[in-house]
Amino acid sequence: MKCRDTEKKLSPYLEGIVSPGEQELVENHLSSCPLCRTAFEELKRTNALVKGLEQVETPPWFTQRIMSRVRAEQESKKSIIQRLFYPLHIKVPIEAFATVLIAVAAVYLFKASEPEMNRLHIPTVAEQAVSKDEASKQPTETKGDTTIAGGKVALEGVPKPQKQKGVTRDKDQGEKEAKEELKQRGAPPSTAKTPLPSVLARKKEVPKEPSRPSEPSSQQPQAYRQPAAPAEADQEIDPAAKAFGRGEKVDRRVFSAGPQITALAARKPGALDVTLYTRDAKAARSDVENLLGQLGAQNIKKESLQAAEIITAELQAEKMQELFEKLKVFGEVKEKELFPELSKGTIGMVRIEMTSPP
Amino acid sequence: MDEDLEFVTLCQRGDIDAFRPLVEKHQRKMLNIAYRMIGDYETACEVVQDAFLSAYKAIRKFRGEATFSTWLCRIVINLSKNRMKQRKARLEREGVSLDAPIETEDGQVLHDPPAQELSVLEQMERKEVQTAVQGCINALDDDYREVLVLRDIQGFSYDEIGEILKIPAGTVKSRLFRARDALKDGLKKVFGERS
Repeated sequence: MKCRDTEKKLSPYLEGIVSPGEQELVENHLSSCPLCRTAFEELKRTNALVKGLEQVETPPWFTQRIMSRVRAEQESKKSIIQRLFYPLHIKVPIEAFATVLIAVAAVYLFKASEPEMNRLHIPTVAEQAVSKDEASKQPTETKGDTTIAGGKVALEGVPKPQKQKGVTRDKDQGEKEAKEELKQRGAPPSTAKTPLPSVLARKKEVPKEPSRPSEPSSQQPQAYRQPAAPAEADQEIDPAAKAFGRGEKVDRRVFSAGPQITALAARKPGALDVTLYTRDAKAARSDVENLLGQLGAQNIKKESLQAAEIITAELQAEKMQELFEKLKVFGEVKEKELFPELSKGTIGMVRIEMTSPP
Repeated sequence: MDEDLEFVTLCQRGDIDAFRPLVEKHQRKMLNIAYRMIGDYETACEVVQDAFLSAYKAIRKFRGEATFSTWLCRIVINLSKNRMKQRKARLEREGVSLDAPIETEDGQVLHDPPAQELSVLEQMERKEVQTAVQGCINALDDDYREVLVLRDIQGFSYDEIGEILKIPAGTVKSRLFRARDALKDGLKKVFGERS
């Protein structure tokens, strides 16, 4: 065995992990080679020095420090989870979310209940002011209770779906026109909102008679129209609207009492509009009211003016003639408009004005 | 059967206190491995703390394919090598010789804890020798140093070293024999100059 080969085997030989044959060869070489023997001695010494290195001890705080760091790590992990789920940490976000949720729910409920809210609409100060303004302009025709009556009519006058044929006023358009109308009459724009257009706009969403879907815009009550285009209005409105809109006196009076009356009348398919001349208008009013009740009229509304009593009602078409005949018993009847062409089964609008003979 | 497995399992289930016995059992050995790998006591303490922390963080990934000791030892060796690289880079930037005696931040030469039964002179001589040996170990390449530390200082078997370093046992042996020769040459230089 040569020195180079022996040097390679010195380490395993020192550890005792060589085969017996290799061990014998190494031992033979070492006994005969002083250089390799010296190298082996140095290796043994090196090995002894390395194995003789003292073990260092851990500091007394070592375990505690490690566990503290481990716990801190665990806490930081927990804190991430707590930040997401621990009630105290999530409290503020939950509150914020709940507030937003409540706000959204409130808006939704308000939107959903808007029609009902509109039904409960009470005339605003501005509307009353407008009414009073009208009353002052026409002192002989309107009274203070007109506004209240108008308001009442507005409450009660929400049309039944079956009688809304042709009422498809656009909400925005209706509001806009109402604003313009009020503006012309001197009311501030912010108070010009009337509930009726929005009600009508919502009601039209479920029309009973879809056969006339394209008419509504032409069915607008004349009272809502701008005076600048009266001819156009006359062409567009239906006969019922004409019935109440043609006479300037009646129209203005009705509007001053509340635009809803006009709107209501205008929507009827046909109408009977008469003036009953009688000495005692109030007595005649109760008689006429009873008569209407006997004839099965519905939605009877009364209105007291300074010089007249007015009754409006809805009556079946076939009863119109009978009413007309019986009215003559109470006094002189002057017909403003009569529509005998109403077909059977339909309901027409009746308006009876009781006043002293001229 | 890994006797640490019970505590490891508890740790994996979130029992933080089960980690303490593992720390108490292995900390000394790990500190000595780190110390002989790095040559600096304070740094070794830091590295071992980091190693235990890393082990705890990754304990759910421990599947018992190796013993916990082997697994932990691998972490310590890797962190020690990383720390050595960082220190080497820092010293090179500062222009300090790698062969210079290991000094603490206070400028004091680091000493091993004294043995009580030796006289002061013997202790001083012993310290010098140990410091010289450690210096020669520090001068070895990482590949040689780690096998020398694990085998000749810590007494791991070749198979265990192969498992820790993820190299074949034959490679461990060949590296170890070369490491011993390199260390022998280094010590020969040191002690030859002194004598």
